[in-house]
Amino acid sequence: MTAAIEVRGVGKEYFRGVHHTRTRLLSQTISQWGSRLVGRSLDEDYSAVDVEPFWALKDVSLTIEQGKVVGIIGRNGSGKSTLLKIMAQITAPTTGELKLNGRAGALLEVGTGFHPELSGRENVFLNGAILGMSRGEIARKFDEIVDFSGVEAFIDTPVKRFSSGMHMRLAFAIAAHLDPEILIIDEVLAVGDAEFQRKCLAKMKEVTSDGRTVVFVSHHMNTVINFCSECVLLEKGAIQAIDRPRAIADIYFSSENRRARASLDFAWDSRPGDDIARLCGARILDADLKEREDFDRGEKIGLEMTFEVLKPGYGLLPNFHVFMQDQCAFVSSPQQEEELVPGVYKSTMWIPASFLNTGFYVISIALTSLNPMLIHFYTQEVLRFRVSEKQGLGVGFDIPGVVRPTIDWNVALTDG
Amino acid sequence: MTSVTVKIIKPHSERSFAEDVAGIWAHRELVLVLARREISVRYRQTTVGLLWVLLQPLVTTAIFTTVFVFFIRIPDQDGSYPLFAFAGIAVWQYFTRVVSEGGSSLVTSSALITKVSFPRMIIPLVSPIAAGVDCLIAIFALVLLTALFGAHLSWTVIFAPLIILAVALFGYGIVLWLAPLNAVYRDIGIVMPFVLQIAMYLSPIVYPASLVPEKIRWLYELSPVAVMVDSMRWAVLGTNAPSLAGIGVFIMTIVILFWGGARMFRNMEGTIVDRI
Repeated sequence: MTAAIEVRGVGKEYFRGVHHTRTRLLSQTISQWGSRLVGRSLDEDYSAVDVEPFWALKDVSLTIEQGKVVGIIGRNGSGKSTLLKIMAQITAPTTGELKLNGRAGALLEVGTGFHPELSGRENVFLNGAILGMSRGEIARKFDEIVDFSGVEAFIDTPVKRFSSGMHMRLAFAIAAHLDPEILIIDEVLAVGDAEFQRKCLAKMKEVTSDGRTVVFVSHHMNTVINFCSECVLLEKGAIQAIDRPRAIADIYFSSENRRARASLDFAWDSRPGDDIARLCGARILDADLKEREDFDRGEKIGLEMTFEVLKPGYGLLPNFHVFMQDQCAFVSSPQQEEELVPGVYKSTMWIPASFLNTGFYVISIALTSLNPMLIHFYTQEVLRFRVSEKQGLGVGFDIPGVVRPTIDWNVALTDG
Repeated sequence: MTSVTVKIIKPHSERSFAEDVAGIWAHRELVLVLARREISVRYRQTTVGLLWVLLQPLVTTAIFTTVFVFFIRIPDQDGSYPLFAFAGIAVWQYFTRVVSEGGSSLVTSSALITKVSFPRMIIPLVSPIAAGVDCLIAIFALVLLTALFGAHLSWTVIFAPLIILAVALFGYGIVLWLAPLNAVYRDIGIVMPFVLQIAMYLSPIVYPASLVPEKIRWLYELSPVAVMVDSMRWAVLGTNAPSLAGIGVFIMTIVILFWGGARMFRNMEGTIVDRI
């Protein structure tokens, strides 16, 4: 496998302080030149006071192989956008170098250069040229682009008369038809309506299936999981991990949910709830009723909540919300609500063995009344646990899905 | 897999001038598309449309004719002052647009250069091309007016497009310095109109160099601005050609502007988006 992108020791220094970059007033520069001429240094007067350098990226090295679809993920300020800008050749690195083997195209925004006075048709050619397509290439793809966007009827109308949706669709349609050897995409796909977004992702997957390299920068973990085969996690300007997207997601979400844990107890005066019922605490239990946060897929997992009922006469329904990353896996509750007399109750739900997928799960806890509809408390993302698998199918990749229940299967040779 | 294009991105660009030119040439379609956008947007939703191209120098010419011929009463026996002024104004207005629009081009195109990568040098190249079309139309009108009112047209008129090209190169050379500097020090954009206005009155654009005291006339002969304006008058109106020394200085100025400007631009373009 040849490398499509080689990043060697790339660092980027920015300056925060006055104007947040190294913008200096002309007068300062001139007075500095002047003082240098007379052999006196004024440096201390300025540099220390107004600007404070910081490294947005520090010594990042990374090789992206040809034909791979690689996601780069990280929180705000992790340096992912800076890395993207350097890869896209928007800004130069401060140290190190970057090698691109192949024609590279970057998509940091859709509709760059769109001019409101120009018609849709004119803007297709304009934006296409800005994104690096030749006139012939755009002309060849023009019908396809217009068809894809679904704005045929307005193609000769100035885009200032377009609705924002139409504007977006036309811009996306052009972007989706960009096919360089290396495609660098920002999370522009995170906007637009879901249906059209799916259409764009599908189109891009189709484009990338024939050996093209794609770098996708995002903080939407689910898009990265759906789209990428490999993922790079950036934190504070450095690479924290390179792995399969699901493994990265585990790290990403485990460090994000620091509040979450295997057990929780509320002090008497800080119990969430209303004047009918309040949450006292909750735990994650193994089969021996011990608190734990790491499980094998072959084990059953218990979720227990303790709550106190303050007022009688309400039908109560405890329920657990189980999330994998930011997707809801399922919500579970007893079959029926029950009227409970005041007192402290423990309610336990057992997730059967071999039901969840491998990965990192986050639990929210609620107590609800259905008639009338009342939510007494809904405490979000307070418990967490991890499911791993020692003996699995032995496949070298992640099996998709938030759950993976073991279900009866039958494979038989038929007579026909 | 055969990868043809290999690109190495380093902290500082180590391109040569030839590579700069090659980069611009490789993106010529984009330059033309951007110039076409400028042209087609400029007079859209105006009632007289493209007529503005002619109205601007014509109105300016009318004002200066009134001031110089009727108020100040400069010697104009044959009534050729309006054509003389029009030729100067058309060239000067072109030069002004190249320098002022080009000088602020990196700032006005920041939406583009912070999102898409291409050789940054094509950004200040857009206005010389877009405004060049306007200038060509104005000069064509000048030729027509000369044929109608003036003396006979000389064959030298075929040099007019070449002179426009020389003005474009001169302006682009200046803008190679101004555009990146203006991105960091906005003072330049504020000072520019004054400097241009002062330069206009110091140069023989709306008055003939013969009005200038004998003692400093040599300065006028060597001034690049005077050379470019007088060249156009020579080509279309058949006035005296600029001196060879003047042309030499003009060419030297362009070479120096390009040599230093390209270096300056190259040094600043890598991080210009961080500083805009």
